[in-house]
Amino acid sequence: MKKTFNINIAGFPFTIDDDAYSLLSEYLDAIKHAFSNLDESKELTDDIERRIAELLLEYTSSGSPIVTSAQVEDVIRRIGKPEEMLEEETVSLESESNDTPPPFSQKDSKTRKRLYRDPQNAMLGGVCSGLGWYLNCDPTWIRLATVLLTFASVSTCGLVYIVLWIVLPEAKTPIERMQMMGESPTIENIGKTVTDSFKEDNGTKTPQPRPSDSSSSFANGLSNTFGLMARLLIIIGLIIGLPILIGLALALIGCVFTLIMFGTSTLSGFSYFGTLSDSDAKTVIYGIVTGIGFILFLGIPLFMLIRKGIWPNAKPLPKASRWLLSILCTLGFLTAAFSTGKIIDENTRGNRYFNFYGNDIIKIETSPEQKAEKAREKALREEMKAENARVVADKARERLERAKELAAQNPDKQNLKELKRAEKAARKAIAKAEKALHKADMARMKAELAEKAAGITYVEPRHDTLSESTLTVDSIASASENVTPDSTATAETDDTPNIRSIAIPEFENK
Amino acid sequence: MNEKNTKADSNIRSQMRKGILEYCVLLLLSRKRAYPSDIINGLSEASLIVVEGTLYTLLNRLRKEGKLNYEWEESPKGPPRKYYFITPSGLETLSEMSDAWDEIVNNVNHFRNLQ
Repeated sequence: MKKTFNINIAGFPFTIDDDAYSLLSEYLDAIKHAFSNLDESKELTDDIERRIAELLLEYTSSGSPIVTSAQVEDVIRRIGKPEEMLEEETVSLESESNDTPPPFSQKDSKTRKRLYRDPQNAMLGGVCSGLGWYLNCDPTWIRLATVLLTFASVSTCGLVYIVLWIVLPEAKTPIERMQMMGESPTIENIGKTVTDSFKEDNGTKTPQPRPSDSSSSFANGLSNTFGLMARLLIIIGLIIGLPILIGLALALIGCVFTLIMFGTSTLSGFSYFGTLSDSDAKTVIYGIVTGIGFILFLGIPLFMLIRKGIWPNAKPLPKASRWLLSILCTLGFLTAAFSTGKIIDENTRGNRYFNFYGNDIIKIETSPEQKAEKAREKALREEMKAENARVVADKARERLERAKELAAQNPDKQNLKELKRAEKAARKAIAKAEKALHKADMARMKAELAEKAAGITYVEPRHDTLSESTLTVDSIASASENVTPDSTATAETDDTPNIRSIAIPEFENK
Repeated sequence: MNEKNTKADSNIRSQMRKGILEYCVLLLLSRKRAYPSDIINGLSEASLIVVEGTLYTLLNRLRKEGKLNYEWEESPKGPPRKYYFITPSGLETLSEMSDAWDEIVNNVNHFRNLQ
């Protein structure tokens, strides 16, 4: 059983099959388009329409009441396809434009989706509506994106919109509309588009409801799944979340970059950052981890929401993916929380409180004496490290000497290899030792500055010059005296080794 | 429709045909008035095959150029039809074309007769 339409061709009524109708419509459309750049195109199309009526009347008068697609095909064959017509004419006419019409083929216009402007759902020029059809996406999102991008791009995207407005054709005829929406002419659609265009011609515009299901709009989709409150929260979340996410992504990139710089500087022995302290390095690493964590934690829900909003009719993700995403999101949160704590810890080590609010609501204070003590402790640690590095360097030098001798005496393959290795090791060790020494010097200078600020004079424990003695932890510890400054007690953090500095607070005349 | 001709339709033939289509149409109409369908039939009898659509554009152009004109005729069993006839200007063009045709035929025959 088929549906039929009552149409009239050149004033003559016909009852026509639905598929015959679509074929005929497309044909007439193609004809109109083919003649559109000639003068008297209307007359020509009328001629053809009359001829079509004539031919079809022969069929109907000889007993078949309904026009079938076979008959329409026959008529088309006789009158000719648009490209056949113009092709013949083109040689005898000097055609002004080389506008050969696209070959008329039923299959083409059905399956391919074309980009038009949609005048029926247009808010401004129908650009976003048309794009929405083409991308199979709610035009509201496209409008939103357009507005935001226009702002973000200092009106460049606004220009793009205007260009599209000018360039894209409007989908006026039912056929064009169906091409825009990418639908093959089904029973419902043809009837609807015909009646809609009829209504439009009569002045009442029926906003064409978008096909698929009624829940295709963003608001509908949300209200089906959540309640009003949740909707508001989600919208707020989107508005806040997206910029935060972008910011985090940028921060992450920055951190990674820093790490790369830091890492390469360490490897090459040349420091970009001067002495980047350990805690700074740790901060960077934790920063990266935090960034990743936040991106997972915020980004995954955001992504899911966006996906639901833009493609409400897309298949939901498989269960495994959803589980994975939930786990990643949770992990992201935990990781972010943990490493944020670590960052704070790294940067406030030694300070029990830190001045979060920038005023004196929370009392902070490390006194200058405490600071000086900390600095001195650090200086001594660095010295120790430097000394260790020096020892290693010495050993490496010795190894190199021995290898040289061996190779000089007996330059066989093994010895030469060993020589090479020894050289490499020595180079590395010396570089390391120099760096460590440099670090120790820096730390010592800082400590001296801090002690000066605090009014402390530091007396070094009695020992020979650093390069020749063997400093050990024990020797320092035994030579120390315990002096506590008279301000608030120092909180001892876990990883300061048990070295006490000798500090004699001398209170100068202030 | 002459199937054999359509299959054998090389570019050459169709090129030739395009040139003389106008000539043949004018010739037909110089004999008597006709509907477009009649013209089509006449042409196909001479194995000059075109689709109707081509004819419509051609007739339209010739009418614009003043070489043809038409009258409306009511039809009992269908929409009104255009009844084409040739104009004096068209007759003039026709005689020019005839001269040109004769000339071409002579030239070609000259070469054909050379063996």
